[in-house]
Amino acid sequence: MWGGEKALREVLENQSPCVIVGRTRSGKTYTLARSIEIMLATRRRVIVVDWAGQLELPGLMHRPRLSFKLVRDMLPDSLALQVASQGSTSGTWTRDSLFSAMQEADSWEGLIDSLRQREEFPYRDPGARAARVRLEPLLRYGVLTNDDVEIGEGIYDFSHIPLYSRNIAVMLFLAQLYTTIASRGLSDVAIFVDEAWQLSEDLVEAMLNEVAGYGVKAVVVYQALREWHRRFNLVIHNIGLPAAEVVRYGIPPKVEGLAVGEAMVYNVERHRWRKVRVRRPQLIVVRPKCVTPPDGRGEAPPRRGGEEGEAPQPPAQEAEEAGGEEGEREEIRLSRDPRVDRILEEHRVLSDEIRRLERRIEELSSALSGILRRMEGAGARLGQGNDGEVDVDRLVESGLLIKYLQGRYEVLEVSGDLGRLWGAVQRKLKEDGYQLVKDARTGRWMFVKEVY
Amino acid sequence: MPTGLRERFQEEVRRRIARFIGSEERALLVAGPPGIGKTHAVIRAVYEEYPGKVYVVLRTHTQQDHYAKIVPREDYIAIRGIQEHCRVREVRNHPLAHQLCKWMRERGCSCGYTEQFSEAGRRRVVSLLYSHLSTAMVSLLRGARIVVFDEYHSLLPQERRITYAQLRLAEEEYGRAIRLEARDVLGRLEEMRARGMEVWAERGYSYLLEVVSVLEQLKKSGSWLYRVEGGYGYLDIAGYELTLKLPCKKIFVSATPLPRMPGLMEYDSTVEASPTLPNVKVVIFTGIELPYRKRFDRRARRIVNELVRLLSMYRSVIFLPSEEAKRRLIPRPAPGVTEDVGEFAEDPGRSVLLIAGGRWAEGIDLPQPEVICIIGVPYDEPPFINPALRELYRYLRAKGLRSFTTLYRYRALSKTLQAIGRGLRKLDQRLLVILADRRYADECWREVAPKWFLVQRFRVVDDLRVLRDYLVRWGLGLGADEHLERVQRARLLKKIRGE
Repeated sequence: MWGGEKALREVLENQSPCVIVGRTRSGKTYTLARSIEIMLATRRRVIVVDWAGQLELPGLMHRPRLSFKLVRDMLPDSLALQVASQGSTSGTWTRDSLFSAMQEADSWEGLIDSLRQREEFPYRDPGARAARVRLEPLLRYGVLTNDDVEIGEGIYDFSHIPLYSRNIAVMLFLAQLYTTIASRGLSDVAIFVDEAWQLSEDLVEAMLNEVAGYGVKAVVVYQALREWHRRFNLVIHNIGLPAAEVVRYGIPPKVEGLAVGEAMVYNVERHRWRKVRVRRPQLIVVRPKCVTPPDGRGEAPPRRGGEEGEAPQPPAQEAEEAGGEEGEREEIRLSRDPRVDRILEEHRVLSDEIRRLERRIEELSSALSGILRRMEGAGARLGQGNDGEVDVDRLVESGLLIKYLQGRYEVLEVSGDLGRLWGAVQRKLKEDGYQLVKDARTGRWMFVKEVY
Repeated sequence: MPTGLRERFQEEVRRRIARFIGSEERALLVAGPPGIGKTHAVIRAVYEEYPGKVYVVLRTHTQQDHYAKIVPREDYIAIRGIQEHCRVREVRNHPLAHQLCKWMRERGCSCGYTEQFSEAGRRRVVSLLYSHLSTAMVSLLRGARIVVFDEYHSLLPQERRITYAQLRLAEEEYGRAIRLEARDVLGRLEEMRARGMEVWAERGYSYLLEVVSVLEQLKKSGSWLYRVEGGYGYLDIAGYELTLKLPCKKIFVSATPLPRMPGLMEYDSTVEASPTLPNVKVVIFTGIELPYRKRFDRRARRIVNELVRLLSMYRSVIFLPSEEAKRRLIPRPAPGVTEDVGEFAEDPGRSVLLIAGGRWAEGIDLPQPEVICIIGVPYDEPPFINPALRELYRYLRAKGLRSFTTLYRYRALSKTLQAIGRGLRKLDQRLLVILADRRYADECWREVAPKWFLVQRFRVVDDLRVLRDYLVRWGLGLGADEHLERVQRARLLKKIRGE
């Protein structure tokens, strides 16, 4: 179906998770977009975590929402892991503070208040502060909600969240997704996470292992290879100087010569490496990364969700204006527009048709060249024993003269009437500027042409 | 579309109607596909060829309004019911409005309702509704010379009801119990009528009088009541027979003509157009069969939902045989599929789920659908479930209808074709019709199908994937038929070779 991408399709269709690796500008995001298209074509539902707002698929764009009820159980561990990976503050402290604060809170606002109180009293609690400063921006940007959330198919754009809170948001989103998968039986889904290296590796690794068991396909994007990637399907783009990786991870040396858009694909279930050239995505628009100012409130580029040309607003305010709860639910429950399916189907059928026509043209051209070859052969056989010269009598006998001549010469006229042939010759010579004149002295006829 | 087909058909109709008027013939049938201009041709021809008064019986008020555009206004009047004319709210909204209206008329009240009947005497074309035929308004037709029955396929005895509430009120007026199961009530009709008249004279309405008039009607026709949910039902045979036995010339117009029923529905001559619609493709999808017992079938549900999802990619109108089938088979419609016709009309990206034979399946034009799909054959409910149908078939059999199945099939096909007609408004319109049930491929339809339907070219597809490719290619204008033939030929060869 996708031509040279068969190997890529195979690794996407098997149940094992997949890791896309490559240095900056090696074509990772295009591969991700193409993989999403392949999964869409197989009618699997896709949930895409778009870190930098690079992907756009009309009708399937969402803003993320984090439900307190769904995230609650996993919040202390997830946030603590992220805090531990981000800086020197102890993750354990954060976990303990969150755990105790969660006992009292029944909403995001309550949790943040509780954390604020713990920062100074009864003793100074850096863990509570670490958790609060990471959660507060999410509340401000309308990401946190106390209602239940249904995770619909589509691309979840996190680019409007400030960088220092974005990884927390993504991580909590994945935690929420995991809870939904485990508790509500959300299956037949493919999860794509762009820029997964921004998240805690332990968490990503755990997620990849866990969700595969629920029949959920996970695809994550990294900039460099890690030891644990070897247990999954791999799509390796140009990774810079690969000598160390070749030795360390046993990847094929061919990876050194990969151009942009080319990749080595490792199918973990078949233990097989294949080189592929990934096509450009047809439906998903890949944009340059969005630039969000540090405080996240300044001039953000116009987003796909809103009307172009409108003044940008903080997301929380937007949500309020969209009609409170109803507006939020409407947005979250957006399903795939059937018109997207139509475009996909039309694209598939047109590709099939183009391939069919290509095959037909190939068949015709090979048939034509076969005919020409046979004619050449026949011509050669007819000329045998005559120093390569064509034996016209034999040609005439075999009825191939005209065909032979037509294949090799421009034929002026074919006729059994000599007078008609003579007329054709006269016309042709006249066209070429010759005139038929009679020499009065000798009485002979001649064709003459004026020469300058 | 062959050039001037519509004009040629209209000319033929005019010629035949002129001949019909001058002949001894009593019934003429005019049939043809939706969009060929049957209504327009017939009414123009009758109006121009016949100098006297013409009555037209129609289904809806909208159709009545449409006639005002064909016939000069000064020569046309549309007869409307009390609800349309009466200015007194209490009368307008009363369940026995006709009794109250009569009572008030006797006391000097007048309005457009009564005036329209005197006005009808001065107009050349008078239209009324099929629902009026079961009321006193049918007397308008008694002196008619020519009556046109437009969309006459709905001209079969209709079910009417007496609810338990009405019966209780009647008993209260009578002062005794009225046991409708026992026919001895027929012996007391005179007494009941007298009491009813007293109540009517006093109050202006009488439920007892209403019950009595129904019982008198039933006594006359020889039929009786049957139990239905919330009361009793009966077939309005009297109004139906009165209409058919009118001693006048009758012109029947329909896209789905009723089969000939000796003694009931007979035509002396027929004008029928059966063009091949160049841009309409009819596909029979045989990968599914949905008889009544299969409405719980899991496989059927899966295929139906897959089909609906496929159709939702196009602007489709999807018909199902019944509300129950819809509820059972498609509990949650695919994204982009609505059940609201208004929403479908407003949003060009929507598809709509409707019921074949339901309120939206006849008499309206759905805006520009690309695909019309009928899932399942919309047969009537089995007669053992629906007592009204049981009575109808019993009545028709008593009248000499030999084949029960003929009418049963006719009614199913009629609903199907009427459903197709909702989207087919022009002969050159581009439309894909999908009949999704294996039973549509049976030969049995030939005896009940109109000619114009039989002459269309049918494609039969048994695989949903092949149907998907056909649909997409049709949408793209990319040789859908050629592709289908290629695929089917390849599959056949494979089968022959035993691969």
